[in-house]
Amino acid sequence: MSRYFYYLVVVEFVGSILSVIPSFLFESSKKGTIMSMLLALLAGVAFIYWITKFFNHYPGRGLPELLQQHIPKWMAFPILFLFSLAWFIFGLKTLLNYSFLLKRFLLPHLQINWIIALLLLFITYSFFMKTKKLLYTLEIVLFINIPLMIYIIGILYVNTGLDWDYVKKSMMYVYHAPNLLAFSASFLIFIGASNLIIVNREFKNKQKLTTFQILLLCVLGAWILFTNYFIPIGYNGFERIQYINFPWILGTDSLKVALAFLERIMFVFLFLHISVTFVNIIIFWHVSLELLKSTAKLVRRKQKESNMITYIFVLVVWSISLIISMKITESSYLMYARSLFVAFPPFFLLVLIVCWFISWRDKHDNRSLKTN
Amino acid sequence: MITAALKQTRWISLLLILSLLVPIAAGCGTKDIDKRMFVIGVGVDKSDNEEKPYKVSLKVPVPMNKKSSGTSPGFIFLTEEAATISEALHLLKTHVDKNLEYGHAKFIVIGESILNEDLRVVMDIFLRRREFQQTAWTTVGKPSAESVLKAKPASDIPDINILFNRFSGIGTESSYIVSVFLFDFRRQLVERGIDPVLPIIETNEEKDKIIVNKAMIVNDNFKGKLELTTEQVGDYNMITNSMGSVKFELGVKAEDYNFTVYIDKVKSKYKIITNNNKPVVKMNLELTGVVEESTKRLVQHKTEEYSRLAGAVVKKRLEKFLTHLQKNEVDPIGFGLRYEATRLHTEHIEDEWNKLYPELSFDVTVHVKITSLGSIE
Amino acid sequence: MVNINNIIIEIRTDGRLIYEEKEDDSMLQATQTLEWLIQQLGHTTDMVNKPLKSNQKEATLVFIKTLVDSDKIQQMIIKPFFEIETRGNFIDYLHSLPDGQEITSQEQMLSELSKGSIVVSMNNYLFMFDIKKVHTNTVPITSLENTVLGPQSSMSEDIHTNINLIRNRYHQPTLTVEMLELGSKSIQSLAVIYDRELVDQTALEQIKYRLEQLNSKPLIQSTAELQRLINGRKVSLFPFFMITERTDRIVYNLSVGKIVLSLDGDPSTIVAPAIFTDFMAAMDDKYHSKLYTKFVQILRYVGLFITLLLPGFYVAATSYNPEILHTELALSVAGSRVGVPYPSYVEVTFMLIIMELLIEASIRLPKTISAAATTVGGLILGTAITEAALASNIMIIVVSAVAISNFAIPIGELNSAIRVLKYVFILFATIAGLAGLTFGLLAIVMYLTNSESYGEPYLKINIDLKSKGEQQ
Repeated sequence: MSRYFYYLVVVEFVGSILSVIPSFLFESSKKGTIMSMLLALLAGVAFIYWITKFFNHYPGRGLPELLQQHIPKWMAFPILFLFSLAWFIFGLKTLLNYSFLLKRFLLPHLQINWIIALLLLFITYSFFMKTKKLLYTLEIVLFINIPLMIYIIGILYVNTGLDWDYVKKSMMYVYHAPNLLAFSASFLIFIGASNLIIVNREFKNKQKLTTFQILLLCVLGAWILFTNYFIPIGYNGFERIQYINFPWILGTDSLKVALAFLERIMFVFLFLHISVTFVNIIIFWHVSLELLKSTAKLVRRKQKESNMITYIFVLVVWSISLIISMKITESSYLMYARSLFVAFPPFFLLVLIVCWFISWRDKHDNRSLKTN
Repeated sequence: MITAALKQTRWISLLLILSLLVPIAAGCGTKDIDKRMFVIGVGVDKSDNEEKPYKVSLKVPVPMNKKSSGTSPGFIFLTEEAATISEALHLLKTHVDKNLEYGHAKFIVIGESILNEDLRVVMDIFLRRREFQQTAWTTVGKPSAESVLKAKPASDIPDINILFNRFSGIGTESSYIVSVFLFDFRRQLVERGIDPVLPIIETNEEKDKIIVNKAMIVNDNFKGKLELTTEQVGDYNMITNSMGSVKFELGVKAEDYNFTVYIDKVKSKYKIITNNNKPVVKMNLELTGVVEESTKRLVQHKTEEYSRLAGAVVKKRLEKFLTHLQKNEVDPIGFGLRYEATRLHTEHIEDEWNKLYPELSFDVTVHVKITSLGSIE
Repeated sequence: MVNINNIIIEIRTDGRLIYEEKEDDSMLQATQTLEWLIQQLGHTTDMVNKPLKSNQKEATLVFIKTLVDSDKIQQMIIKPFFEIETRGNFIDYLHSLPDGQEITSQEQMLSELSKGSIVVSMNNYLFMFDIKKVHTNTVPITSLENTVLGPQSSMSEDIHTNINLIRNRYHQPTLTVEMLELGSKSIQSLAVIYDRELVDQTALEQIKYRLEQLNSKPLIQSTAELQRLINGRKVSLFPFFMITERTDRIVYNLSVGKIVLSLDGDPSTIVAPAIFTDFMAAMDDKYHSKLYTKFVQILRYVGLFITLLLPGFYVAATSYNPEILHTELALSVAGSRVGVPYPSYVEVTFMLIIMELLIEASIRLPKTISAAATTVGGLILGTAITEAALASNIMIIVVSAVAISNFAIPIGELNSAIRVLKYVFILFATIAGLAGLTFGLLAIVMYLTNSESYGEPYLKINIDLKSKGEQQ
């Protein structure tokens, strides 16, 4: 597979550590998170496998083109619109969590809507970028951040502050029934590959997903889940970890490393966080925008409309984000996020069903073509 | 074409807007570094006032221009009493003309007087506020936190690293010093299977000496506290080996040999075995060291015997220490935690352990390896 | 306008050459043209109108004295004129001279005369030869881009010498040179050089298209000006062409398929398309050992980040998030800022502006005063400012580090871009501290990846396994 595919998957892996997912995992830490994580690992890898295999059949084409070709318009339009909305909500939830974190740790003096406005200023520039350029940006940002990330995680594992007894204790809770919230939260780590619905347009050569690559992704996903869940436990203790709001930030703050002129590793981690989450958001919203543009193309076939759509999107994004930011607090955010998270796995099942439907129609059309 | 031109104007207008934000930013949030004061130590004591039970002391270095005043900053000490710690901190802001920053708070000293309270309540603010470093050292101050913070021992260069050097291993290294970070203290406090240990910083009346060689165990079931003597602290460090490499002197007095071994490597591990009727903790220790001082002449080929003798001494010491802990119903080493970590979780595992702990016997095997007898025989 | 065609049809019979005179009025046309030329150029004293006469041969020479090489006239035309017997033979001789130019119109002849050609009129035939004398064809040593090892010659100001230098390093028959003329008033020659087999066709077409759009400009004196005109952007900060004077760099770029534009009268040549990593590579990288090269490349990028981010980081760390620095360092910084009356971002900007002024001034200083300038600069930017508590000690260190690492970037164009960019970062850091700095970095990355230099993405990490030899 092209290396950009891996970037998409990896950025979601890394981004998951920095989002609200660990908090949800810890919420049910005494009630069967481990089982849920294992299930989610299987489900996630299966998801990546299926969706990648589907898109490998159609090099150079994204979901909108395929829908247009094989599905009648009245069905394709709501599907595309729904997907666009879903991706928009992903981006929005990430943005909100991001701004909470910024307010807490780096910009305590700015009000939250100023922070969101600042973020949106930069994100808006990305709306005018093409998919290919976005992938290059992703590459460069990951290039700078992955070594930092490996360094931090390496230090986390090796530091004497990590007490494996706590980890082992948490592992002893393995025989509990899996928990829906924990399952959904862990599953969401694997959705990076779903961005293929638009990014596949750039993969013009025929791609192949070999077994070795699947295994690699499986191992990587498992390791990320492990790190995501167990490392903060090792540093923060197990008992009351569900009451910690930002377990990873507190965890990295527990490292005493003499790093050049920086006092706390937490800041390096924050830098990492800022860049990766930012790229995450722009990818989600880019997919959402492209889906929206394709709905417009479905309805009217004129090219000029696509710029109008972009401006409308900008307006919508700004207004919704600012309005929500003024009304929401950390706890209400958690409440909404909880229900959203639970709704996502079925949504991705829907995505897979749509893909399967397209391939069925394709075979059906081909068969009828062949017979004719 | 239109998009390109629009993009250009968009980019330029973006920059213009940004530059307009500068005056706004100048009004809010930017506070230059010389308008801030960095607190490096926070102390909490119990005050005599009923309504304002918390007495908070701060140690703040005063930055001075290096060229004009030599290398060392001076310190100022602030104290305030209030009903809660955060209120005290807010009141303390009025004592100085600059903003107090806690991002560099490296020491949190808990006065002896306040140890009887629920430490979870006392420590809450340090965990909740984002500014406090999780790698701050948590200690107990004797006779009080305030006096410890104010102490200015002659030996230390009056530098902000007064206490830092002792705890981090950068300065003096000793096995009688327990170094506990805030995050470590918190997780030990919260976890039922392990009791937190805090080092005790002692200072005298004139406040010119700082001695750190004892520790305090706080039983988080509120059954009181236990003070460890110096030697016991050494035992504790030996078993938990939390600083990575513990170096200490082991005095061996047995069978008319009287020598001291300088141990520089300790490896320890233990297992809790509950299969038989009698539950036992099997502990294995491996110490490596060289002989430092001896009253009698030592012979090379008897090194094995010396090692054996040393091992026996350590074994006796440790067993005494562990039984002492058991009798006082404290568990700083974390046997409870290890117990829960090695067995699948059930509802009653905690009660099981509580019943088990007083019945445990300790089986310590110590293997001392004396690598050399020193420069002379 | 009279169109004179001086291609004479030769009919060979009996091994002898017979000349067929085309039209009766051709003789009249030739003389008319000559008179017209003389009249056009008559006002200037350096025009020479020289008739030659020998036996039955007659010829007239028209040229501008200050442009032509008189030795060559002597050797090429005058001497043979008197040595060759017959008129016919002399005309044959003139035909066979390699410096001959094709005559298309009167205006063209006039323009060629003002470039340094000579018009020879014999009977009714007009010949034009290019015998200009150039004074600018010395090959200097590189002054702007220095390397320790490797060739040291740089381009000269004469286009033919330049092409000569390039061809001497690149002995490939596929090396194509196309000559264009730029500037309606200055009519400078521009050579577009590329390797026909390796060149990137889309880029070539785009560049040629843009060059053709430039007919309206009267005066194009340098390649730098040219670069701005064919940039395709109204406002640009980052360079999208590379300008270099080194012959080895040009030849290297040719060999990977880039296009070189060389303007007569300017030693700097344009290499297009150029991407970000090209600007961070110096020719030295090919001449030193591999590990040393890697080390130096990393050093350059470190220098780039230092010069971009350090002032912003200083502002962020002192004014917004002082807990990010080590305690002792924070106290040091606080101590050194004691007494400075204005906030840190003003201090940083003020010091950097003074440094920029110093750099600008030192470009234009006559050599005699330069020593005084460095002393003054050192004194002002050094101890005096800290003594007067107008800036802190640490600020001085920051500014010097920034200045030094700025010049670690090999190509001057990117240098200038970065110098402007760091103020943008200071702005971001002022608004939002450390987070603002990170956002600024991300924004610049986005902007750069979004730009293209003639179809090549500007900022892209090329880790193609089958690399076609992209420059470093």
